[in-house]
Amino acid sequence: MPLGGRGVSFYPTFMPPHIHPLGDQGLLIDWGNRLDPGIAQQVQACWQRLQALQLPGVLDLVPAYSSLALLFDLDYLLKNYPQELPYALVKSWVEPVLAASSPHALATCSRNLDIPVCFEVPHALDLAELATQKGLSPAAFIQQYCQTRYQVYMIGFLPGFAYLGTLDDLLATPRKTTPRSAIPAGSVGIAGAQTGIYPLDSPGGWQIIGRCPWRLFTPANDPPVRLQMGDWVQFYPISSSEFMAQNEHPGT
Amino acid sequence: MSILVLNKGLQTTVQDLGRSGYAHFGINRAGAMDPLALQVGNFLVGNPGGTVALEMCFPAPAFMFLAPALIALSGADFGAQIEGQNLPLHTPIWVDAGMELHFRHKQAGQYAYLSIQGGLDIPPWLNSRSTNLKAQWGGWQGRALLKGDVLPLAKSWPERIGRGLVIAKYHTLLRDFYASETPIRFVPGQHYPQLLPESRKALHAQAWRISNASDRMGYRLDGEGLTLSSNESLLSAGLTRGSIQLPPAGQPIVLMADHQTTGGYPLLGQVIQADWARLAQLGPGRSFYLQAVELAEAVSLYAEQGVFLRRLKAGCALALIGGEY
Repeated sequence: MPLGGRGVSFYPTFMPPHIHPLGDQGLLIDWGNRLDPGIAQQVQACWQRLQALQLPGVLDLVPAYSSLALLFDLDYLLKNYPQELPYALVKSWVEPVLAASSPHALATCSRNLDIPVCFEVPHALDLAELATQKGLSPAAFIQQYCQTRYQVYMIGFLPGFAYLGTLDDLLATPRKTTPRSAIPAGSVGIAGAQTGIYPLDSPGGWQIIGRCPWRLFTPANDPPVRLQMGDWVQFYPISSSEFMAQNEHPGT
Repeated sequence: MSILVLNKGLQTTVQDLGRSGYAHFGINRAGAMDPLALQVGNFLVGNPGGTVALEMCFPAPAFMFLAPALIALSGADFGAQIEGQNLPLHTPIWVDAGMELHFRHKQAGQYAYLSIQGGLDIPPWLNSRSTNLKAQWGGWQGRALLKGDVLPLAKSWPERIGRGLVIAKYHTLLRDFYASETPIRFVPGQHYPQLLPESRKALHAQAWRISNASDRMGYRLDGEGLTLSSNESLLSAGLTRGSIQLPPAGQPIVLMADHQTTGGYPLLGQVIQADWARLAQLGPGRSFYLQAVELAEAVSLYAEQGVFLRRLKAGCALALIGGEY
């Protein structure tokens, strides 16, 4: 299946999802445990449709790799629809949306972002070791890494932490066996076939290859995060002096 | 028109019913660990149930009121005193400027709430005044309270100055909602059918002890480990509070108010909302049994709690108007 196109340029296999309850709080729309760009497109399309519908009593919609969690306000539903079992009611609202999300009906809005990364010391904590492991020079590693346009498959773990994929097989590397106790905000890491940027100072086990000068999470902004589900991201290298000039991280 | 923090306590945070609508940005709900106690405390002082209040753990903080206020204590009982007088839980209490609130010892429960009529005068962030400790934003400067903090109150009572301590002559009874002999109930979830037969038995038959490595993010349960028939690696998906995760070591974790928005461990089910308060108040070191229930039963238990809260709200409003204190 092609990956790396801009927006929606292909028709993925249509997979009808399965719906099951998340206790008395909501439901999970589940496309199966498969990492597949086509499924990710369907998740995104359903997410955008459900957002636009503004269903009553729905508190949160959480899209992920191959699932979409919907959390509802049980109080609200019991008060306004006393005759119905809340789960069955919300499921009946969701099903027509899924039926309308066939591959040909996919029309998602996605954005392309180009993001600067400094791959030099002191930011590139693990780059030299990773490059050696792969039999590449650091420059060749960076070139390979910056060639691909990555898709945001999910936001989670920390506010604004985007899980990006899919890395070239050559670059994919497991997490560090011992996580670091502190990774500075903006650090760009690799975990398996995923890559991502730490939005906050945090402990973490990803292999750190560089640092982005942007703040990915700014609480006072609306929205407070820079990356969203469905965005497409391509990285480009910058020097230490360019990093300093563009640095948005406080206290560095 | 404010409260001075004399002692910060173990972890005192500003909480309401939490922040929804932002989970797709990785921003979690936060909010009170015991949402029932938060609402009860607020109703007693005539507030809407989700008004911002102070959540306290033991060792508890100490405060000085710099202005008169109408307060109530709910949730855990930490032996509250003002000027040497014991304060009851679940009762409206008038306090005067200069009075100090201290907590003597942990008697029952894990999370105590101090509700104040009108709440705290702090700005909301993304529709909530709850503290998000991970983002270090929201609530009071995005952090737990520190000694010397002065928290502004939203309501002033100049006419109450010099009227002393007044404890209302009524209180609410909540024992049924916190009965410790009732198991914690959950609706079986996605990976529950994959539990091996002996593990399924062990899940229900053993008392699970809440580990000391538990906090606002999650309660880790100690007991005989559980095994699934499949060890397929899972893609992360959206999570809810109350989710019972099963990491590879086989010791379940129940997600609490500050849980991550997404995760990839197998899910045995979700603790029902009607039991959130009771589970939160058990706290580290305490043990409980788990019991699987049908979704319809979970909903009717929650509806019962809702009926109780609506009656309490109406009763409290009438009592305050009638001046029964």
